[in-house]
Amino acid sequence: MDMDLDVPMHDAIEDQQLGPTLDEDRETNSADNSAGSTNAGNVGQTPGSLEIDEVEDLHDPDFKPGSSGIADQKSAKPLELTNSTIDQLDKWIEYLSKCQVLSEEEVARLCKMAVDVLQFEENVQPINVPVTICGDVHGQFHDLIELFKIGGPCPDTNYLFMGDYVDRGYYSVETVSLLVAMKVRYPRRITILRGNHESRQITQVYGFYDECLRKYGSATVWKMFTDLFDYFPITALVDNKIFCLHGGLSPMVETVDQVRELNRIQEVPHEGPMCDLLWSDPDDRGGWGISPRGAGFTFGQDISEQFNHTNDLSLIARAHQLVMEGYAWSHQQNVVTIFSAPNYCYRCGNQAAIMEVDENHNRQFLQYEPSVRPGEPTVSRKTPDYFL
Amino acid sequence: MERVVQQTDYDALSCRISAIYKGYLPSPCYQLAKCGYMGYKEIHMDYINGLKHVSRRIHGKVTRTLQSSYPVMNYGTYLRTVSIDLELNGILSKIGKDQRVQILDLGGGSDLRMVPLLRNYPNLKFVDVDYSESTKVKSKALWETQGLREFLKLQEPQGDQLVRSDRYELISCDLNDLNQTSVKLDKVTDADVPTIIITECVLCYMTQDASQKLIEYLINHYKSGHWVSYDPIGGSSENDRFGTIMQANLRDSRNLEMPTLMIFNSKEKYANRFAPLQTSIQDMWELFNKIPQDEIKRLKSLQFLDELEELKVMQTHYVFCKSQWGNV
Amino acid sequence: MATETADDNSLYPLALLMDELKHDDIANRVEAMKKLDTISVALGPVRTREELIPFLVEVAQDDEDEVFAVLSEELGKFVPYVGGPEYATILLPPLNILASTEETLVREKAVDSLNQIAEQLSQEQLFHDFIPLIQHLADADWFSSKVSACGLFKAVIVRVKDDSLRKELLSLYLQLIQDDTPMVRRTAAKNLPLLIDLLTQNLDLSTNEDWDYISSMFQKIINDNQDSVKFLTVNTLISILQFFNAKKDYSHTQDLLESSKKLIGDEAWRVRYMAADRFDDLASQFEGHDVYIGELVQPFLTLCEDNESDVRKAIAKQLPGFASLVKDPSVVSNKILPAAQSLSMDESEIVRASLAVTVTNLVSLMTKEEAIDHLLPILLNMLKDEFPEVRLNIIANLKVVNDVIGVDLLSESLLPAITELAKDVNWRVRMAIIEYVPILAQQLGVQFFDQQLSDLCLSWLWDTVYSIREAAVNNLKKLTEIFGSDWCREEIISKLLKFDSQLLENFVYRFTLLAALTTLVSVVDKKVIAEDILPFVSRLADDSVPNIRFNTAKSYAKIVERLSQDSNYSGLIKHTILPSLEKLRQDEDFDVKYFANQSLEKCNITLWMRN
Repeated sequence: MDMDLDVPMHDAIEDQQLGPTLDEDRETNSADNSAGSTNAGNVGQTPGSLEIDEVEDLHDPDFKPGSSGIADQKSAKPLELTNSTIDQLDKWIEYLSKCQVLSEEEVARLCKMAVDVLQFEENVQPINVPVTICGDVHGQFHDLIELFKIGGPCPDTNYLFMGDYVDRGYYSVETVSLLVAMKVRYPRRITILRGNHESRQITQVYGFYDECLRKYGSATVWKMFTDLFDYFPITALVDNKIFCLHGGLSPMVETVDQVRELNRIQEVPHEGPMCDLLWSDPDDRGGWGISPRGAGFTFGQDISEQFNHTNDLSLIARAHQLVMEGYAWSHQQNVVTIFSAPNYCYRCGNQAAIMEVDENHNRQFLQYEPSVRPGEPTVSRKTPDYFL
Repeated sequence: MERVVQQTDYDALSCRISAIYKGYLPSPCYQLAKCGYMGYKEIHMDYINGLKHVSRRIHGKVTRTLQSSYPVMNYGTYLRTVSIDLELNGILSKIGKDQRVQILDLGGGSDLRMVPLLRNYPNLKFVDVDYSESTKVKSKALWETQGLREFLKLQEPQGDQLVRSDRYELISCDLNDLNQTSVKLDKVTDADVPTIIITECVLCYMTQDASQKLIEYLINHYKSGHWVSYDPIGGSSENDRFGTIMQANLRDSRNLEMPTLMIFNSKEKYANRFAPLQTSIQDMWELFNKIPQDEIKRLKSLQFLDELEELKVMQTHYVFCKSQWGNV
Repeated sequence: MATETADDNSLYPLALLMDELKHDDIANRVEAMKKLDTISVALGPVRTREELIPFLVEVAQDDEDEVFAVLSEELGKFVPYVGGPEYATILLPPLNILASTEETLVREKAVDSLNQIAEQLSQEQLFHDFIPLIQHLADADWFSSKVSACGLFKAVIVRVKDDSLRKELLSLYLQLIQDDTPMVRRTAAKNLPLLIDLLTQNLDLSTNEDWDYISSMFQKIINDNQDSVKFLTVNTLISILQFFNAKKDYSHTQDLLESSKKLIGDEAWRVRYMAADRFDDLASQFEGHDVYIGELVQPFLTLCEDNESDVRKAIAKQLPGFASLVKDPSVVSNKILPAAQSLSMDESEIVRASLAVTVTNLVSLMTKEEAIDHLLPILLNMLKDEFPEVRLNIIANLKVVNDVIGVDLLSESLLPAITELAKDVNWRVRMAIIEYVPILAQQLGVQFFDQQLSDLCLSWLWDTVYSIREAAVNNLKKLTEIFGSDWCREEIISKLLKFDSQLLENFVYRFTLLAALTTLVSVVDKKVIAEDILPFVSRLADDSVPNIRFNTAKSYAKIVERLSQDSNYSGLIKHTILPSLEKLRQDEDFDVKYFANQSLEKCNITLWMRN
């Protein structure tokens, strides 16, 4: 077989053409669809006439960032909770905790409040110990509830979530609604960073968009949440010692201060420092490497050590990668990966974990299995994807 | 059970259509340049349109997930499809066009490989074998599709008959019933002609006993040949829960059993099913890592492949196995 | 709009529906189907009958299952929309088609709808339309139609007062019972007990000829060559026995006992499994006939030794139930107890866990001595089982045993079992045992508890899993409710407050201590609150961690609620608690401020109400 060709190792940074933009993606597709008819084969009548509704397009003015209007009347100062908004939020949280969705109008109100909380957070959000640090959740709502059973309820326990709340699991809407509601209700007790899935483009591929359409009948809720994602902080710094982010380091970021200078309020770009922070992975090879994911980079132990040294850090905590034990050390304990979605996509068989950091900087990992859902037959008759 | 297994054909077709829709298939360097699969996309689109006339229900099942197909599924579909196509093409070109050769596509369901292969190899006879439910649908869909009907030179079926032509046969039978299978195959194949057998996600649904008897019978009955097989394996390492979770998921949500998933749970054990034949086996992750850079670059341009770890977990649990016997 | 009842206006809904149902996106078609009732209301009954229903008959020919499913369900509610019961039969043709589709879900919904409609039909309509529909489905070539037919008899069988027509229906059912396709036979066999139960409810309706048919059906199923059909005979048999018992007709009992024994000893394990799973129900039909019950003992014991673990698992649950039917105590001690003994050492953990759920109930059938000599060893052994679920099930059901023989004899084995479960790696197992502790404490008494269990209960407070810590806290409260405030002060609070300062450096420990003491506030004497709990809580009001501070604020509200009941403590409240809350109200942390405010408000209300 020809596939046995030796593949050259990835050459670093030579390939500037990182991931595709969604626009290119669509153009390729539509070009394909219409040009197909002239191809050889001689067996076709109307090739490409597969009747599928095109996914709505980013060229559509309704699809432009900000079109949901949740940020049209931003406040000049952080949201001040009144007793009535607190009551409202407490009711929402109680409701959402039962895996029920808010109405479209309620989501709009929630997102507007959330903008006025999140816009004032920093790119490098400072966080105090004690805190419990969590990785990807990916719409596995029942496992998020299990996480709170293991780690304790918010606000009694302080939480830092490192992104990827949506996509893949069947309950992205419920999951992200609950976390955002908690964030607005207890802004000092819970921090929610942005993951690479908190993006308009990725959610159109990986399920959140479809889920919103299915559960609300229109893309409005998706637009509101993805507009809100632009305001999520991208990194956090726990007691000046643990640098937390979804993906990893960037060749364009040597110091934590450089992160502070970025303009984060935008869709996750396809390249550049903000993209890297949300996309990169640690690797066994030293130095910088092209990421096999198509965005971000891989970085070696030398890079992590240098970064921790330069910034006087003890650890980089990140999520982004499935690890079978729920957490995994790399780069001689300079980097830890935390993944909080057990049996990822309902089929990977992995454990999940969270990391508790106490006020004396002691760390403890808690591992857990998928929640048991008594009485609930496997999720709504849907089969996880397999090749059959 | 029969119906439950038969329905998996629509999953496979749906995956393939999705991979085509997103541009994974046909692969220009492999399927087009190497295998000469011209018109691959059009063949499939035509067939899907034909299918719509046969049953809106099946058509709906197949096209339902198109929009939201995950990259990890498209990559997997790409891998299984391209691997088998390349292997078939390799074997057929080695045999050359001067002697007769036959392909038995066992449980192939809606597989449309026969179209480019019959076009490219005039010495080839292609036999599709599947449950009658599948062959009925396929027969009607092929007949409904003018292009395919004419290309395959299909003869008009009378009554309950299935479409056929001189070089293409569609046979209804239950592979678990070896007597029935052997009788039906005997009518349309020649034991002396080099034979290529394809089992793509077929053996995994059979019991150990039935599948081993089928393998044993066929490799003894046909004088010489190649067997190309693709299946999931449960995984053999101690902490590997993929296989047991897969069995439980499929049982709970679809009543679908994979009786040997945990029996032939490693590459070695799977390859041993074909003992004593000369056999080589790779998991799909190994194959993925052999795709040259240009092709990877093309694939990456189609969709963001976010989760390599997940791709690895999935693909290390699927294998591509090829065996050979006799003088071919 | 109301005045505009022009023709083209009322035409609109149907055209719209037709359009939507041609839409390529299935979601649109499903949505359109869901609005079917609105459309028919807009059309009115006449046009619904004349235009909509014929159109739906067409739709029912080819669409996707999701659309069919909605259509099937909607049609069940359609009787009022077509103009009431007198026109209801017009709904039968589309449902007839839907009841013949291959997708089970669609079929089931269609059958449900047909049954709903049947309830509203007159005798005449049943005779002219509905029964012919059943006949048509039952006579079809395609198995799905026949399967649906099986589900429709229950709507008519007891409504048919004409004996010959009922006989005809039963003869048709007999035909389905012996269909070529196993799936049809299976569905028919599954529905048969329902039909028999209906006859039992209408005891005087059925004739001897009817029962000849039922008897033939029973013979067919019990001799079916497919296990998956045959095993359904067990339920049918029970229903038949219930009918004759209700009639007080015992002429068939001997025969039916023979059938029971035949099923229990069947070659196919699924049949034996079903017999084992329903053994109590089956055997209790022979209650009062001691000889017959006696004849079931040996078959019962054979099931206990079955070589299929699923069968043993099923029968293991029936031990006490069957033993209570057996009036002869020597049979219980010489036959059934040994069976329990061997099941308790079964190679399969599932069997042992199943036995553990009910085996303790055997104690009520024996004297104290017998229980000690024969049952206790089995239980002690099971408490040492390697499989946690076995131990848990025994422990959770020990109360009956304690009531008869007291706990002392059990304690020696009980303790290691509890300790072991308390350390299980699975936190849900730990949770299960904690939840059992209060019941255990009640049974064991305070002395035993202090010696053996109190350390364990405290250790759960430091579990790594929050839910366990929370359960441990609640456990202390329940224990205090049992053993009293003094006990709590000496055995729990004093120990809690003695934890060394190093532990208190950890926020989780401080948090848990605070939670434990706060929870105890509602169950200990006020003196204990004032002297022991309050000082500790007050200390935490200055904690460096805001989460502790706002929980201190919450804690104060609970303390005030108790202490304010006694005017002796009003000074303490005024001079210690309220100032501390005032201070927390000025905290830099928003949540601390918020919860301090909440608590102050609560305190003020409490105090105001007391005055």
